[in-house]
Amino acid sequence: MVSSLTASGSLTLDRTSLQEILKISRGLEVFADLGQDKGNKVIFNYEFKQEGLFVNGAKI
Amino acid sequence: MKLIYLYIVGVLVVVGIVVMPLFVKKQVDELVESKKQSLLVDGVELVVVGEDGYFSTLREIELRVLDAKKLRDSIVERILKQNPNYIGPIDFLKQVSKGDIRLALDGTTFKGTIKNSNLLLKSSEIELALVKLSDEFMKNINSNKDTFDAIQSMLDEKLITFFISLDSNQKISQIAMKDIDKTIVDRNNSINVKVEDHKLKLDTTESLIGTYAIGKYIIKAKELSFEMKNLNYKFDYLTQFDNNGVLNIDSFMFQESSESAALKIGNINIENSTQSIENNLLDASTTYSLKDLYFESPTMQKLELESFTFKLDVLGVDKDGIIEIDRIYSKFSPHDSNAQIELLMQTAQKILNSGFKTDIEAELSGLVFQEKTFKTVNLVLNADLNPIPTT
Repeated sequence: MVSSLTASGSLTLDRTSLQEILKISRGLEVFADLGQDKGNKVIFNYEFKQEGLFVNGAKI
Repeated sequence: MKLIYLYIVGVLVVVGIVVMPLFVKKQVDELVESKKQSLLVDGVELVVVGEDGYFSTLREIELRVLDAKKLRDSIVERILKQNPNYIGPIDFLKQVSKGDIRLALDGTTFKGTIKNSNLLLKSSEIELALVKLSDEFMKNINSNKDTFDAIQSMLDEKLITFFISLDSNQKISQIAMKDIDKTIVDRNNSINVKVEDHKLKLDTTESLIGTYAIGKYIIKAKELSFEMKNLNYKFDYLTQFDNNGVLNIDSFMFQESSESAALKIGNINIENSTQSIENNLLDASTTYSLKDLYFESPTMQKLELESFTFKLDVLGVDKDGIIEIDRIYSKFSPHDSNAQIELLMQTAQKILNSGFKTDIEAELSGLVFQEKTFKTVNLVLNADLNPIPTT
């Protein structure tokens, strides 16, 4: 057993691509609302800690 | 007085130039003789058919496979000496080729020349052309005149010819293949094969540094075509855990016109490196990238992709764990798979417990699939697996 796992990173995509992904799976809409707008792109910064998964600071 | 010195020096230089070839030739003769003996042990007969020249010698040679099993075992032994972990796949290959390797290769003959300068023992140039396939193969095709004539004409025109350069230590520094541009016509079908600039360059001074390249590889038939341009693989191999390589292909295309299937890639690039670091740990890095991918087939929807990059870094992995996994994997046998899978799992757990760091970066742009377009998607993941603290 490892003592801890931490993971962080980001997913960046343009708004059109995000809309296409949502067409494939409507269940992802809850995540889509957490995205930060930057120009025509949407950024999801995520962090996985002992407490759980956080996307742009919000716990999932 | 000065003139006498000059005269003596002049005479010595002339004598040196005249006598030197005798010494160098003797050395090369001894080298060829020792090679003959070692090749014979490996199941290959080397015959010097004739020789010509004083300041440089051109030896005509013939190389014939007498016992392909001995040759295979000798090559395997050399590979295992450098990489003992390859025992599993090699055992498997030996089993597969157990019965027919001698039938497939015994009698295969190359003819060619060895050219070297006798003024100084420096590089030698060897030219070898395939002039006969195995005795068994030649016997089998003998009954079909068309096939026999087609193959014999290819052998006669020395279609498969290698140019081998040896350095001053008589180690191979380059193997190049003669360009091929051949059209084979068989009843209603014709196949054109074109191979250009196919070579392997080696430098074994410290590590094994080399470049493997194919300038052009084209196969064109009635309903099928394959084209690959500028394959270039540069590598630097010191050990299994200290090496790096870069593979680049400028363009790749496969097309099957009857099935309307096609795969085209503008550029492929693969880079990988493994490095031993302190505390018996390993860093490994791999990057895959490709540009302008186009794929279509009768069973799948068309797929287009402008560019894709995937980069994976694994840092600080337990080296002993990797050696152990490699050892178990190389000895993997279908008869004892459960026990080996159990061992693999235990070792993987051990590696995880030791902890390591992973960085992943993936980016794709211009993906069109199932009438959906993805302009740019970028994913970054940094993960740390922290080891159990030692008490």
